[in-house]
Amino acid sequence: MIRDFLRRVAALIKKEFRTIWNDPKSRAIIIAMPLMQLLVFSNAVTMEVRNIDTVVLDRSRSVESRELLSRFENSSRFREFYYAENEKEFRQYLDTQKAQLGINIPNDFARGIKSKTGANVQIISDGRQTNSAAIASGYSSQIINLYNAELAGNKGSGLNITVRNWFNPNLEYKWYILTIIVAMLSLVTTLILTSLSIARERELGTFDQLIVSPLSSFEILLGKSIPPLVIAMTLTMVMIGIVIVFFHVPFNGSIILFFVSILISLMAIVGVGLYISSICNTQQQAILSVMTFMMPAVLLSGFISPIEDMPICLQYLTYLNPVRFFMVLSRGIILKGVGISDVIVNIIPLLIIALITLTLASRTFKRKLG
Amino acid sequence: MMCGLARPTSGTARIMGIDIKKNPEKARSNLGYMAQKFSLYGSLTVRENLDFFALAYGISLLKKEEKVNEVIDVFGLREYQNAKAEELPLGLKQRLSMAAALIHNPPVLFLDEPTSGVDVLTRRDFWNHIISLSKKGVTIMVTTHFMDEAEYCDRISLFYKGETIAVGTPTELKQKAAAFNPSPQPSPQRGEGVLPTMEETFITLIKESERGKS
Repeated sequence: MIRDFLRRVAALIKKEFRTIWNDPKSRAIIIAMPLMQLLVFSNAVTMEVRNIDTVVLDRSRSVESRELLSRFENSSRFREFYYAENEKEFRQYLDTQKAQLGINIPNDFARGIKSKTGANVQIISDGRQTNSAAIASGYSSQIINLYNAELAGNKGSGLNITVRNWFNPNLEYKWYILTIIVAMLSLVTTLILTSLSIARERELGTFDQLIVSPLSSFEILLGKSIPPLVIAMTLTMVMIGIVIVFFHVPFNGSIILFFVSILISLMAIVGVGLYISSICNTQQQAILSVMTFMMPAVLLSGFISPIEDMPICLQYLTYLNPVRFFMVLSRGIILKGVGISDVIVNIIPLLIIALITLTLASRTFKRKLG
Repeated sequence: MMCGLARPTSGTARIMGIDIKKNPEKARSNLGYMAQKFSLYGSLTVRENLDFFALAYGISLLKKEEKVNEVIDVFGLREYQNAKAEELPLGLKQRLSMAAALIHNPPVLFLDEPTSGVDVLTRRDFWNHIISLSKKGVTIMVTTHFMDEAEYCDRISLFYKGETIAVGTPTELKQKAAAFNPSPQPSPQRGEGVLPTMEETFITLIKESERGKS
């Protein structure tokens, strides 16, 4: 009895692997696409603000104004400096986005400093790019503050701030982005792979042939979920390996915890993919549904904006989102090295999601037939 | 419904004495099914397809090799065994589907318009297979819209607008039609008292059922 069961499931799994592997398109989906994206995105997707082009309108043309500007020029954050002759030109640089930051030094600048009555500097940032604008003006005020402190002389009574960044001491943006990119890529690959699997068979008519065979719903479910799970697991491990070896991201957590949490995360995602696939009649429908699911799932995962900053009702909604827990787990274990209790808290919701979606999927196989 | 493709709404049905509602998996292991559209895995080879269906239908690993070789020989697929199924011409695809449906020696076989779009020679071949299987005692259910094919069957159920309008052997049906319409179309080849062809029978019976309704 149990041997018959295993034999049938094994046959189905073997067939799944063969159909995935024999099809050049699915081979591209599982190998070429994720690895290429990993390499491209790791270099392209960055929220760090570097290479700021600046336009300067220096009306003071004094030693003091030169001194301030040279500090900007020596900072590695700023790239190009354009010197405008008049207000109109200054404005043009910002309008055309040739410069992201403007420094306007009035003609009484040097006088104000010398007479100790105070001087003004105007910093203009491009609000069309909110994030970069905030960061760029942050850098500028840092530079100006330092200069300010020097001018005021070292009285020794000021407050000294010491900032230390835990888990990523130099705020290496790559560490953060790479762990997320790996999670994202395995998410996309798994979803596409699973969502196509049943829909493709339905479209080609082979699913009828499976239904007619003595395979039960549960056996079909197993045969359909194990191959993508194995493929996605392998892919994730390879990508994490690349990230550690080639990008020198430190792996602080336990390998076993990582393996278990990735496996369970992927199980939940396989569940979602198979459920999508089971309600779709064609591959086209399946791909469209994946897109529809992906957008909110990624946006509400805490990748773009922290979950804590969302409205309360949306925060509760994220509990339904497997990507959220997947993200927390992969980032937490790699960078922070979180312990077993933190992992379990995030694994339980994933298990529940997996259970629900997989049950729904296997029920829907049959219901679609009537 | 028998194949598990549709859910029964009420009543009972048994295949080889096994209730399809209570034990669907076991009931299905007694039947072979061949769809109208080619529905095996195109990206797998002929042999890989047969391997899969052999195991899915519960043939043990030891017997699988022997069984697959047997059907490959019976259906003359030896020289194509390593070709991808999607690359085969239609006639061979049909043979492969039949081979896959018969790999576990089912006592009941369902054929859904197996010969639509198949050339005359392959069709003849096909019916020879079907007839020899039925002589071995396999119950075969064929749906078809070729009336000359219907003639080969032992028992025909005529369907019109989703309802059975007549059941019987070919001769019975013809006699029934002849009673409605004594001389269908007088033709030089046919004298009085000769039964109408299957096609004429079908048309007559449909017209009768229409008239009965109105």
